[in-house]
Amino acid sequence: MVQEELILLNRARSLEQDALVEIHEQYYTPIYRYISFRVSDSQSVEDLTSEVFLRLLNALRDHNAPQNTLRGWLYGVASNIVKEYYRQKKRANLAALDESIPSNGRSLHQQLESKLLGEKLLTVMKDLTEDQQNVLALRFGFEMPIKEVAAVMGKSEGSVKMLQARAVASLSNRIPAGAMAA
Amino acid sequence: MKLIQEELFLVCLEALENGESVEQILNRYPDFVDELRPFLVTAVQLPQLAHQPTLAAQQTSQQRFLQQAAELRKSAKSRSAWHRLRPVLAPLASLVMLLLVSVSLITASNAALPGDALYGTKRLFESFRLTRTGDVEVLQQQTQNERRREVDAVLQSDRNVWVEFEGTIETMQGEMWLVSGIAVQVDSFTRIKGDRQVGAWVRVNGRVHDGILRALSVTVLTADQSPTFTPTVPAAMGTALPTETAVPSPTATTEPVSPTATPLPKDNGDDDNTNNNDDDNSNNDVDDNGNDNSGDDDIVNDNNDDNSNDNSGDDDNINDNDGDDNDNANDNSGDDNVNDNDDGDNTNDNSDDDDDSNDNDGDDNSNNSGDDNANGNDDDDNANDDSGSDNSNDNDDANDNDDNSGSGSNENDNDNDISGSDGSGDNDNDNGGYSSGGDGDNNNDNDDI
Repeated sequence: MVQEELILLNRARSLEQDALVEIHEQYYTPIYRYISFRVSDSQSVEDLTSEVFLRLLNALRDHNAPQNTLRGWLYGVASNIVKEYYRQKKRANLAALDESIPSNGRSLHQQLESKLLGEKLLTVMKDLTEDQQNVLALRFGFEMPIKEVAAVMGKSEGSVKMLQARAVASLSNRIPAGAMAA
Repeated sequence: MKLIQEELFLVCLEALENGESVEQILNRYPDFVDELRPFLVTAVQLPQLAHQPTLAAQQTSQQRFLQQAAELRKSAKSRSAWHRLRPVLAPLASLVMLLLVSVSLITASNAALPGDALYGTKRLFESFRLTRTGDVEVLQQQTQNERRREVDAVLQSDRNVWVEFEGTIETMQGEMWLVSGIAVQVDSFTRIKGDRQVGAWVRVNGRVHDGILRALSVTVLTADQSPTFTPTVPAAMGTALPTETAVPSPTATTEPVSPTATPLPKDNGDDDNTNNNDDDNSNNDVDDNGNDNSGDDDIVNDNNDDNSNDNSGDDDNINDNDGDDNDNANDNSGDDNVNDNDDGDNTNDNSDDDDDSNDNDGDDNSNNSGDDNANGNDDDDNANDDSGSDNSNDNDDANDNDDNSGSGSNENDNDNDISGSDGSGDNDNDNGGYSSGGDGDNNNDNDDI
C-alpha cells in the first residue's frame, strides 16, 4: 500500500493528469468524512475538502509535497484547514440542518432519531480535546486503522486507543441518557 | 473514570470492532451494564456521524482540482523552457562574447608596433596562424614584410624600442648598411654571425633610438638571397629581444664558429627552429652550431656545415649530414635509420644495436663496431675491410676481412679465414676448424680441431 502510494505521489509531482485524478478519487471521500466529523455544515465540508486538494497542488508546485505518505499529509492539511475554519467562524453551535438524511436501510423514524443524536454528538464533540476530536474523526470519519492513526498523530497505538476510549466516554457522559437509542 | 472502567472500555471497543453487538458485550459484563451501555451506544453512533459526499460535490471538487492543475502545468512549462535553455544559452552567450572580444583584440592588435601594449598579442596571433594555416611560406613572407613595415614605422616615430627583422643586405658602407631598404647602423658593438656580404639574407636585432636603428646583432641566414624563415616568438609580451651568442671579432672575416667556444644558442622550447628542441620539423639551416637534437621525434634534420650534431634521442630519422662536417660525433644511438655519412666524416661511431644501412663512403676511418649490418666499406678505408663483397663484417680490432665470421680477430686476419675461432696471429689460408690459438700462426695454417 505504501509503495503504491509513493508511486502515485511521484507521478503527481509532475502534475500528471491521471495521477491527480486517481488521488482525488481515492482520497476525496475519506477527507470529506473526516472533515464532516468535525464540521457540521455540509457546504463548508465540501469547500474545506476541496481546499485540501488545492493545497496539495500548491505543495506539488512548490516542491513541498509529501515525501513518504500521502494519507498522513492529507490528514494534516485537513486538520489545519478545520482549525482555520473554526478560528475564522468561531462557531460552536449545531450546524444548519442537512436536508440529506442518510438512510442506511433504517425506517424514517429511526433515521430521524439517529440524525438528532448525531447532531447532539457533533455539538458536544467541540468539548473534547483536539487530540480526542482528531482520533475520533480519523477513526470514524477517515476510517483509518489504529496503527495508522498512531503514525499520523505521532503517538503510540496504546495512547491512541486510550484517547479513543476516553473520547467516547466523554461524549457519552454529555448526552442525556434518554437521547441514546440502541 | 476508574482504571477498571478504562480497561473495560478498551475491551468493549475492541469487541465492537470485532463485530460483536452491544447486547453481546453487555451480557459478558452484567455487573457493568449501567456504565457500559451509554458508552457502547455512543461508540456505535460515531461511525454514522460522518457524512458521505454527494456525487455532485465530488465532481465539482475534481473539476476545480484538475483545472487548477492545468494552469500550474502551463506556467511550469514556460518556466522550465527557460531553465532548460539557460545551461545552453549562458555558455553560448559567454562564447559569443569571447569571440567578439577576440576578434576585437585581433583587429586592434594588427596595427600594433613594437612597444605597444598589444604588440605581444599581435606576435602571438601570428605564431598561432603559422601553426594552423596551410600556406606556410606565404604567411612567412607576409610576416617578414610586416616586421620590416613595423621597423619603418618605428623609425619614423619617437619610439625607443627593440626591433627584429629579416632582409637582404643591399649595401655595406662603413657602419651603415642597407638591409631591404632599412638603414642599419653596424658598429664595433654589433655581433655579426656568418659571412656577411651583399646579397646575404640576414636577421637584424637592434634598438631604435632617435630614429636610428642600431644593430645589436646581425646573423647571416643564407649566403644567397633566399629567405629562410625563422619566426621568433617573443620571449615576453613586450620589447625584449632574444639574446644572441657572441662572435669573437666584428671586423674579422667570417669564420666558422668553434662549437666549443660558442655557447649553445638559446633554448626556445617547443616548436622552435634554429635551436632544435622537441618536436622540431624541417630544420633546414646553415651554419647551425651546437644543435642538440635531444628530444624525440626530430624529423628531417638537414644540417649543412653543422658541427657537434649529437642526435642522442630515439627515433631520429634521416639525419643527413652533408658537406664539410667536422667533428661529427654522430652518436646514432637508439633506433637510428639511414645514417648516410658522406665524405670527410670522422669518428663515426655506430655503437649501438640495430643500425641499418650504414654506408660509409669516402674517407671513413675507424668505423663500425657493435652489431652493424650491411656495412659496405668502399675504397680508401683504413684499418677496415676492403672493397670485396663484405657481409656482416664484424670489425673488432680492425681488419677483419672477407668472409670473416669469426670473433676475436686480430690484425691482418686476411683472406680465406673461414669460420672457426682463430687464435692470435692468424694469417693467410687459415682454413676451417679452430685451433687452440697458438701464437705465430703463419701461412698455411690449416688448423684442425
